[in-house]
Amino acid sequence: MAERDGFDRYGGDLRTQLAATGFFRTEKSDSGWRLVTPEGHPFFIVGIAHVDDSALKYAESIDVYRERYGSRSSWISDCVVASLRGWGFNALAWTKQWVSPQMRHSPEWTPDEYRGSGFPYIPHIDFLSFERWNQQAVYKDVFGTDFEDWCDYQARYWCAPLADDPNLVGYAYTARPHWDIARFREVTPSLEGLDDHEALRRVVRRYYQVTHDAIRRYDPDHLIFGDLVEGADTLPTGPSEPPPVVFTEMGEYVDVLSVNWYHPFDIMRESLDAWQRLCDKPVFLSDSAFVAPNDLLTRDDPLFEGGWEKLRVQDEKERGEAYVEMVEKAYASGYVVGWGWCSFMQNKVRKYGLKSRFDEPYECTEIMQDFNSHLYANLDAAVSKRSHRTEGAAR
Amino acid sequence: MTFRLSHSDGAWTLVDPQGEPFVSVGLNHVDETNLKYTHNHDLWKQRYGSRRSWIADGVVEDLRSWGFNTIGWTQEYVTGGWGEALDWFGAPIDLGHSLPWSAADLISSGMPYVVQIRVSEIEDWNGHPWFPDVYSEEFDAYCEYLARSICVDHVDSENLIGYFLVDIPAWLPHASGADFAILRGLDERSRNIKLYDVAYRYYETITRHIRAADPNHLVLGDRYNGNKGIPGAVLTAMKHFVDVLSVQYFPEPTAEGRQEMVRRLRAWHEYTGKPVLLADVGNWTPTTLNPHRTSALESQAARGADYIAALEPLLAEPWFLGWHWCGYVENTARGWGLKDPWDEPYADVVTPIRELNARATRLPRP
Repeated sequence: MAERDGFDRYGGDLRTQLAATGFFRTEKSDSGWRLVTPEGHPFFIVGIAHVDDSALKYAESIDVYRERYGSRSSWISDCVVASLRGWGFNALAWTKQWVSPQMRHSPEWTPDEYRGSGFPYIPHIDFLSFERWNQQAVYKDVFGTDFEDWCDYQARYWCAPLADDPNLVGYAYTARPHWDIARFREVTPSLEGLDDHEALRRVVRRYYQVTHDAIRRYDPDHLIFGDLVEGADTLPTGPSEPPPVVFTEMGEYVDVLSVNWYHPFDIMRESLDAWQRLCDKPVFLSDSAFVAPNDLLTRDDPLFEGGWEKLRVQDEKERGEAYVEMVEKAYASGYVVGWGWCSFMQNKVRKYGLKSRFDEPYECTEIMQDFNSHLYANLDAAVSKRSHRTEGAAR
Repeated sequence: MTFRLSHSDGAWTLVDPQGEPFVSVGLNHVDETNLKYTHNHDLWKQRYGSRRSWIADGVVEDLRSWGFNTIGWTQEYVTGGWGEALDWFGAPIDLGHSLPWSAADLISSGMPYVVQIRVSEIEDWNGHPWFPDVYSEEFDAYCEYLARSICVDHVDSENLIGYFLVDIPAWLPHASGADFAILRGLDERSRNIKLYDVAYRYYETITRHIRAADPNHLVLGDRYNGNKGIPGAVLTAMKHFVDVLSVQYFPEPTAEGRQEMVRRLRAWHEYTGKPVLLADVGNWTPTTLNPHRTSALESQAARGADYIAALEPLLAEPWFLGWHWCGYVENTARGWGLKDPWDEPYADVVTPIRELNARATRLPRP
């Protein structure tokens, strides 16, 4: 990644020098949690989630893909990385995209594609596909050897080739896991006789232990972001509520608490405070956005129902302003270490992104770019300006 | 120019982009993670060190050396016990499979290759199958996505032979009891009538989207589970939309078993009028790492002899397009391959394989 004024090659803050380990790491001090780049500079993730080229391969947009890029590798370097750098974003925060009405998702980029991007990244490992939104969710006996073997395969696929890459920020897992103990009971004989709380506690602990051990077998150095724990918002598939035992049991096996919650920061704040204390980890807001009506998305689109109306803003200008406000407030918490903005390019099912499905950026990116170009100075100024920081957590 | 089919005087020929007859002799399940276990990862680092080197200096070098001319279906069986016999009607199994090669990997190999479009997760080896509603907007939209996403990167490729669909789809009832919702509870006769409708919509939908995204390449179709059987209703529906009848078949390593494979492939060809690609065929014997992989073949030399005995007779059949052999590097799940877990070829197997492959790929078609 080319260096910009004031930033190191990973997007870290050159004004402060900390210990450099060659890998991204977390650091906790009296002033709160932060990420540190491989070169030893403070790092706040302003990342992008859901980056898939099929959005540019519709019959009406394929000519744009062919004329501007012509291949996936060119699309990655000349479209994705060039755009993100231009806007001042600093990480790919998983790439699967929602691609069909019933929320099927595209595949994650390959390890070679992530690595070849030359950009910081957080890939997702499919240890267990038990997402709440997934019509094909699968529950497995996490105490069985098949699960261990599958996790070892995933680690061989992801961690073996990426273990020495400094651009890898860390590994994340399942997006919005549904901890349905009844489903786990169906496939786990050893839970017989245990009450639901104890059964779930054991499942959660074993799940995080096996996944952690598989990663560490091939990669002792990179961060583990764990599952994208679902926030208390509402999906089309029903309301969500993360069981507290998830936070207490994961702590030993992850480095960061990732939270997937589509709400403004003020609404999330109280829960995030509590969850963060339960596991004593920094928080990554892994996947959310603010959305304005566009050519595919009217104000009364069903997307905005069930609590998601809180994401709706009037226009692209408000969208950019909402981005700035969210980053500032999250940073000021003293424990949030980054945010993954939801969606690079609009497609016909998600309907929103930072670019249209014809590869044209929305106006909000100008505001984002302006803010990101002086990210750390802007964040420090925001901390001074606001009174949202938790007591004793001034950076 | 792309691979195409030629049919004259009752004989089918696969024709390469240069206009030459081509017998596709492929190798399946070519997956890098088989060399990244704790027992062999250091060896992978020493020999290759990167995926690009492994593809060029490992895979392509080996395949060319052994006379294979096609990179087959790359996904590998990586987890799940399969200690029992190949009984597709017994207790359900759940065999985890690796991820496929990317388009860039396949194209960069410089070898002829095939691509899979996984229309539905209904494989006989899948312990958690998901049978779609083929009449739904969701199914149409997902097929459109698959074709748009996958085919665009291959549409101009001279080395792409064609697109496979699902690996051993459970058109006969799945061992888990799962089925298409519209077929559940029907008796066999009623199921077969409805099955034709389901299969027709399935093939019509996915091939319409494939042809829209890529009008140039062949559709090789589902990789049917020949050992389990293929319903006539599905074959009748398939033949309207698919170019090649692709069948997985693992013959018993006996004269009778091999002849039975030829008879059944011929019968399916005659039923559909389609040329046949033997999409997955293999054998195994106990090894150091996998002593439980027993069969009637007691040595690697016996595997090599079986390779010739099973496959050479197919070359005389006018409807036969080629075979794709099962297994490259031995792992701890499948438990067999042409190389041992330390990346060394089983010489007693690859020597006879090289001999037959040379004859097959240079043989004038009947």
